[in-house]
Amino acid sequence: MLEDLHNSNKPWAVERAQLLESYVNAFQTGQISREEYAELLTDLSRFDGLEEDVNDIVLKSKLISALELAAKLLG
Amino acid sequence: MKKLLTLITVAFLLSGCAVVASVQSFFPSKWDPNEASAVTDIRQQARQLDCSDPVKLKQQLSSLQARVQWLELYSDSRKNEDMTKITKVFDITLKGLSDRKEYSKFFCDSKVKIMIKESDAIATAAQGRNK
Repeated sequence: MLEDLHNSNKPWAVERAQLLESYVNAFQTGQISREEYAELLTDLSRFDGLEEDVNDIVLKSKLISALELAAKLLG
Repeated sequence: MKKLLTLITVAFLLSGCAVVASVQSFFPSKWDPNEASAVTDIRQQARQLDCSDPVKLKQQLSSLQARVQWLELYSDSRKNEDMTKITKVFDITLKGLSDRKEYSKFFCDSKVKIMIKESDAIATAAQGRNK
């Protein structure tokens, strides 16, 4: 599954895969505790939600600008 | 009949309020210079976090926490719900490190990385809004 992310040609997906791999590796080699591992996974998942919200804000702002420009045609 | 009319009026008003609320939640908040400044501070402070010096890190996290709280309160008072929501996400990530008494170096480095990414994303939202 991580392989798919690496081969996706999507920078964000490749980056997520790299982070996830580093977490798994750190947990398996005892660099982080079970609790820390769980928290990092939660952070990564929460970050996806944050990015969605950010994209929404930016896209909606652009839509409003486009609507305002379009409305100017009405004179 | 009078009761029925009252009920219909109340239902209409309630649905009207719901429509207004949903329209309001669709529109992103406007660009705000104070939010833009606070987000830039947060980005900068996140980049300066130094996991190799726990004493210094504690002070840095405390300073960052104060700036994040300022932004949260400011956005909340401006009723910029979208900004409040995404700032709260950063706050949760930050507290996951600042509230810990002990942590590994890898954990600290990883939290800093994700905080930098989150602060960059919040800045994209804050600066991508219309004036």
